[in-house]
Amino acid sequence: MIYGQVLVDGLIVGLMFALVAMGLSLIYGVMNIVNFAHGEFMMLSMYFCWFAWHFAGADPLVAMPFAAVLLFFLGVAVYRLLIRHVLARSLVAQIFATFGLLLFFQATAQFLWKSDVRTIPTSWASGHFQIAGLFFNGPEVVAGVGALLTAAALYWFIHRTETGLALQAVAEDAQAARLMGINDNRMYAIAWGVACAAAAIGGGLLSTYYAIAPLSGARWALPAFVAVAIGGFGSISGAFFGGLIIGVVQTAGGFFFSPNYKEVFVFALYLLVVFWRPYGLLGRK
Amino acid sequence: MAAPLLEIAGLTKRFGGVYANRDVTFDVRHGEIVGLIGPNGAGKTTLFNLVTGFIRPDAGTVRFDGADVTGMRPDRLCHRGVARTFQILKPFPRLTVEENVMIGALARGDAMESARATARRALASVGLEHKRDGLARGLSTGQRKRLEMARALATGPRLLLLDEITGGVDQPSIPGLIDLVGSLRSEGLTLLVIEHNMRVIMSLADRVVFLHLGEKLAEGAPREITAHPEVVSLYLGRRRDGH
Amino acid sequence: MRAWLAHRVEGLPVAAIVILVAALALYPLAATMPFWRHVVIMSMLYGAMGVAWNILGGLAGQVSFGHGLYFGVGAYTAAYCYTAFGLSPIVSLPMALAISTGASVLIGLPTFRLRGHYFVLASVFIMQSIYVLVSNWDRMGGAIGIEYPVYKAEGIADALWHGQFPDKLPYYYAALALFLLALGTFRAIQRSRFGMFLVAIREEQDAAHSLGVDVARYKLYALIASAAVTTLAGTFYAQYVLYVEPISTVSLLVSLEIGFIAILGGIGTLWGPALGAFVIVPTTELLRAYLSGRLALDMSRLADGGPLAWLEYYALGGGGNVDILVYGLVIMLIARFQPAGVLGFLRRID
Repeated sequence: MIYGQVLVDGLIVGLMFALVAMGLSLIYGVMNIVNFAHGEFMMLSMYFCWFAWHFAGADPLVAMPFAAVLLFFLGVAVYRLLIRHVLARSLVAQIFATFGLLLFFQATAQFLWKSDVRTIPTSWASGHFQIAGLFFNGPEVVAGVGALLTAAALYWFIHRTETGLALQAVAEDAQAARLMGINDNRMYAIAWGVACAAAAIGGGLLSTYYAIAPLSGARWALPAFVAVAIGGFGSISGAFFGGLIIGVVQTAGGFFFSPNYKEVFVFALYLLVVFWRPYGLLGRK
Repeated sequence: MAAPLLEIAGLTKRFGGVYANRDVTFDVRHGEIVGLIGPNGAGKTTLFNLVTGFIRPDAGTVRFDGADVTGMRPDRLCHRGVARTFQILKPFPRLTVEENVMIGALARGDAMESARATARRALASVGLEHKRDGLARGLSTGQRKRLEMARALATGPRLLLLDEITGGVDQPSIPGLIDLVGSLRSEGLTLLVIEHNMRVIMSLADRVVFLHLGEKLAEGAPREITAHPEVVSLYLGRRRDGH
Repeated sequence: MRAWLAHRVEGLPVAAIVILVAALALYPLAATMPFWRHVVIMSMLYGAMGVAWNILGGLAGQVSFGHGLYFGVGAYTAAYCYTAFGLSPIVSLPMALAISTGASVLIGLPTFRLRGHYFVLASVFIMQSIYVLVSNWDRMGGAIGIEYPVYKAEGIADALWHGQFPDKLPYYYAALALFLLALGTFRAIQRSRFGMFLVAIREEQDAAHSLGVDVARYKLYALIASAAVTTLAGTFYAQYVLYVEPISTVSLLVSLEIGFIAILGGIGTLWGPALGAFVIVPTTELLRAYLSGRLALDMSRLADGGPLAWLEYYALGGGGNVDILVYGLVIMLIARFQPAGVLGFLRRID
């Protein structure tokens, strides 16, 4: 039974990792950029939801779509103002651009809102329940299901819509896509917008139960990179399953060993994967 | 008769389920120029990567000067006397032309000044000495090809693998490059060259190996190869139509 | 003599170098306030680390976000050996260097097989894992860290043995020595065969490999050299602030700051990281001092309940982390407008 509980808990957490990882993988797949600031977009969305609740009494589930729209535009803006200009630059410039973004967002949050942990104690999602001997925490289940639905929507967007197919074409070969009349610059901006909107949904769902603080996003984004590596860099569906795997690994590691070290297990998994299967557990090549 | 300088036996490499090289066997004898030809995707560059230690074969052996060097690291092979150029040219862009060439001599163990002297000799032999103080990124494609050759020569090789002598080079430069490769042989080097230009192959190579889909389909003197029915139907015929 | 003074070392005439070093050596005579000495001590400390990072990141092109580990090895070894066994930093420093070298080999051997993003992420995850491990390592004081007991030295020999001094002057000259040592090490490597190999690896690894350069070995040597200087800086830091905690040593943040110093000034160049440190460290130290002064004022006004107090409170926030905010902003601007750093910017004007 305990194994079942750990597995279920891990999968629920994993769904959230999956959503975050899909956004990361979308950006990486389309333009070969590792967005170290991805978690900070989640964090901004969490604060947005907190302020909406604090000042207007809005439930995070209501505020969330607004956060998604806002962060879509923030993502596009970040692309236009910063990322676009480092695309042709060295790896170092690209890494420092997104790491700079991470530090800037984190420090701005600390500066404006201090490091105090905030929570939203009452959400529609609050409560516990029990099915077949397994315990479920309401907000976590809602967040997991929300993440799954968003992940499905993201998958549908990339594989079934015209814009999504254009994104894939640009990811495959930007030059060829340009010859086919696809504006790659616009596609990159859309990739950033969509990935950040997905991060915003993730942040909104988390804000119903997770502590809101300047570093809250990083705690989700760093392990999500491991999910991206497991799934094979740039693979959207790979990132989804990678997310589930690290959710289970982190939960099991935390439960059977020590919650203090749960992230270390996930990070160790990254090293294992890149040395043993550099193209990901699920990747091809 | 002495053993061949390079002996390739049963060399096989798979990527995923696809054979990049399958059971390839041939020799390169001392002082020879052997041409390696075949359509795109025939596995020519993979074969170079296998011979120079950049990738490990799944099966088969590579012997150099009588010793088994299968899977040996590129730097160790280089110290034994195997040098190569790359199809996609890889100069050190932000080093000067001279420094580019010095690296090979330094890695051999030379001190700075003797490496500089070696580099100048190598640059002179490829006709690039006038460019030696400029940055490598300022060179034209033809000059970069010469730079790669000079760099390889400065390592003091016995066997030189050239990946496309004339690819991407303007027509007027081609005769000069042919002469250059010919002169390398007369200095005692043994060469294995990948080349698409049949005119170059005909004028340089003693023997030609034809690869198709990773397998060796034919081997022989240039005239035999150009008359070989499979080579004609798979490669030369199509090329004549296309070009 | 005159010709020698006009000789340039990476664009800087020897005469100018002599003047700059003399200015640094004489600076404490002019700046007697501890704060102003502190600013330059921190600049030289971070400058030394930026220069050390540049051996691996700039010359060899291996962008590592794990240098906090080697800084931490220096700091924690000194702090632990001193507080637990009363060992002088003079004794613990060789131990720290040995540990740092061991860690370099252990981490470098596997990770240097990775390239590009894979390598960067590996360094991030290793750093983060070490941070978690140290934060939970009770013997090392966990997340709180290790604080040195106050020690009143009797005489110079005693102070040297304990590595603790009542005023900032000895620390200042130790930091200057560290800074010059880092620059000297970088320059020596840059001019050697070893340095040429590192640059070749950075520019085109496969070509270097095919030309006979033992890529794995030289990357590892670069890491060991870079880590050793960083460890030295760590030991100095521990003896200077007499307090070691995970977040200010073995953290990703510190690792980023170290790399950032080099990027800001000009990656791969001799003077870049030194310049970078002297630009960003004083800026952030001054900003922090200014804002914490403002904050104290505003907190008192908040207590009075002035009408706009809450607004000021929110707008100024904790005033904390403003240095990081500036780091983040500047780092983005550099990546966006001038990846060659301040040095590249100066050259353009020149």
